[in-house]
Amino acid sequence: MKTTYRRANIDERRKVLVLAGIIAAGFLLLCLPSVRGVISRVVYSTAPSLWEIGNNISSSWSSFWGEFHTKRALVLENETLREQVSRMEAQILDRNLLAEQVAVLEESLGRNPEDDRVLGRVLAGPGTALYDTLSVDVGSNLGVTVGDQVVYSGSSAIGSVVEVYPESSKIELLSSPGEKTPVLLGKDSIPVVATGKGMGNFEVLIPEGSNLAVGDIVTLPPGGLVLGTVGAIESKPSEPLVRVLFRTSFNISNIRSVEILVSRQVR
Amino acid sequence: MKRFIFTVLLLGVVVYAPWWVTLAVVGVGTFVFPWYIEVIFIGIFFDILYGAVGVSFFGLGVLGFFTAIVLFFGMEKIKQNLR
Repeated sequence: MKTTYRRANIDERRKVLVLAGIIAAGFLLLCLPSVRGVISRVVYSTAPSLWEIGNNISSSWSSFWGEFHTKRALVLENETLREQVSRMEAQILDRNLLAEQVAVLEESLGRNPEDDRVLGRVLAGPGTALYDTLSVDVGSNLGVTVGDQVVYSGSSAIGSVVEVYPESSKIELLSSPGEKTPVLLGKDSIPVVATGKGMGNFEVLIPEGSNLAVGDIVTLPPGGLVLGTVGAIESKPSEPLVRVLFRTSFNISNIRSVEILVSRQVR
Repeated sequence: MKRFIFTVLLLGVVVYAPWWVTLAVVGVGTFVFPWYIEVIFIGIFFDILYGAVGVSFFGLGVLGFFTAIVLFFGMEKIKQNLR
């Protein structure tokens, strides 16, 4: 009886030691960029093709059932239309800003106003991941490098490239929780630093009495890319600062493709 | 064998399903299988796949790993109390 107890105790201790070893090794693996980079490259040598297969199966399955289920087809159509609407809303937002920018750009000599853009299809996004990241199907094969700026529907800034693989890359969204981004608020272009709150939401603190209203546009300082629109302004009589909440004009989880400005670095 | 098949399926869930489905399936795995340390590897895989250094959780990109550890110990405690 005593022997059995002792053996069980040794087994238990061994299990705990193995677990502690796995946790320590896992932590080191994730925190050492060189080791993490090697494993990421191995994972990303197969993951994009798996996502491609999954997306193909998913779309084939949807179109197959769409033939039989009118309701399902309508839901899908509704989803597509909603994505188109959000894309168009984002495009409309910056028309005036673009007109001003064109004039400025025409004046600036020696600079090519055209961006070198690469279109990337989203393989996995915030809907799948708990992180505010996107995985896209373009990588170093098309000149994408770490730090390249990423936009949606032409002029809405959404993030930057953080990891590049031969045929895919990972994008960190500007709305990633805790991410700090310098922005210009409203008509007066108030310069502030926005803090990401996840899923396309941001928070900013500005002094009481600033000229800002719900619906005002928020832009990024260099280039004037649109980041979002002010959704709420919360003020308390006892506090000198006003809390401004703004979000992207489109649903982050509806993004199907993005444009990577391969010539424009943000870091 | 069941455990191995479940883990392979779980890898598929990580790749294709939304994160909350992964969380639910991982919860089932840690509850059903004794000492299911595979969950920690699943957490690491999740972080490698979706996270990046400098993104979320003190900039370490270890959200999945941390969640897996919490879930593992939490479920072991629950199972101990149910015995």
